[in-house]
Amino acid sequence: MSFDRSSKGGVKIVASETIPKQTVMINGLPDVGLVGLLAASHIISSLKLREVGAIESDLLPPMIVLHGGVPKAPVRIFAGNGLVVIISETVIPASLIRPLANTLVEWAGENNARLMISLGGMAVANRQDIDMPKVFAALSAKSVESQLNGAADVLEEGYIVGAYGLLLRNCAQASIPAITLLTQSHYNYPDPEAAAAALTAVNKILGLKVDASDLLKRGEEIRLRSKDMMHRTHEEMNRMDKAHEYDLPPLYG
Amino acid sequence: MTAREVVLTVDLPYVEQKGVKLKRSTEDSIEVYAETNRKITFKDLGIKHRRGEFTCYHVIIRMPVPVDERKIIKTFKRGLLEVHIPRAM
Repeated sequence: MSFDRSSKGGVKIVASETIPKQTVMINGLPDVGLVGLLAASHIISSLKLREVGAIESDLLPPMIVLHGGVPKAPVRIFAGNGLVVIISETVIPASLIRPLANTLVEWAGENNARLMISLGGMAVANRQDIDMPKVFAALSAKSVESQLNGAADVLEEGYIVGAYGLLLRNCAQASIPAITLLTQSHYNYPDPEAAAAALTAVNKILGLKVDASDLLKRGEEIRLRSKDMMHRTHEEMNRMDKAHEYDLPPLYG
Repeated sequence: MTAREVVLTVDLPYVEQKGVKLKRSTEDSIEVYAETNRKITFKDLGIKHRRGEFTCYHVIIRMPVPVDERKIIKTFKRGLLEVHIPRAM
């Protein structure tokens, strides 16, 4: 079975099989330290999730990724175990972020998503001195805090630049509970340790038991493999002024 | 870069501290040479269309301001090299 769905802004969700309803959506887009991409990929392989579709857009570079000799779209949707996981193996260009966030949240609404968790990094200067990266959470609404199960410290003030910021705001408007988890990480080096910490937080929130130790054991290989991806992501983060996240929001009220 | 120093970081998977060498390569650049603890081939990474192997990383980094490389402080932790080079006063 196959059906296409077009949406505003040229982002299309192409499902190759029926997407389960009332699931928890997890986003692993390339970002600071590639934390989300590494953690989400690990969830997909550990839980052996099925590939159920792709996200296509003319704003993405004209490319495919070969996996096991089969051509794949770089932004794909996986499902299983009550989860829908979205990962991107290419940098999301700044111009695509707004239409992507709109489409994803609209789609999450149609599928009655129970919760949306976005996995990202929070760059810290002294990352090498940190043994256990801390996880922080930005929430779509105060009421979502009870779902955290103490897995992360809630952020009260600050900026979030990029897809995860918009996803959170769109979810808030659509009344979909959403958590953006930001884990302390390197800014422009792939950070499997931070991904492991993010995964541990996801386990705690969802009551899963995904083993994070493989991310640590294969750390060097992961860092080497993701060097090029990190480099491209870094360039795009500079373009969208990611450093804005270090700014203090002016007081109001 | 801060008011007093230039900070240089390089991510070096498969490298141990003893494999890292630093030197001033020209008047305004620092050269990092790092040997990996094993031979890395593209084949190990599942790549068939590129051949070859490597056992070191090599990069030359241009300094944005004059520095005093005699007072370099080098740390290597979690596979990440961090070098603090005081600015020449």
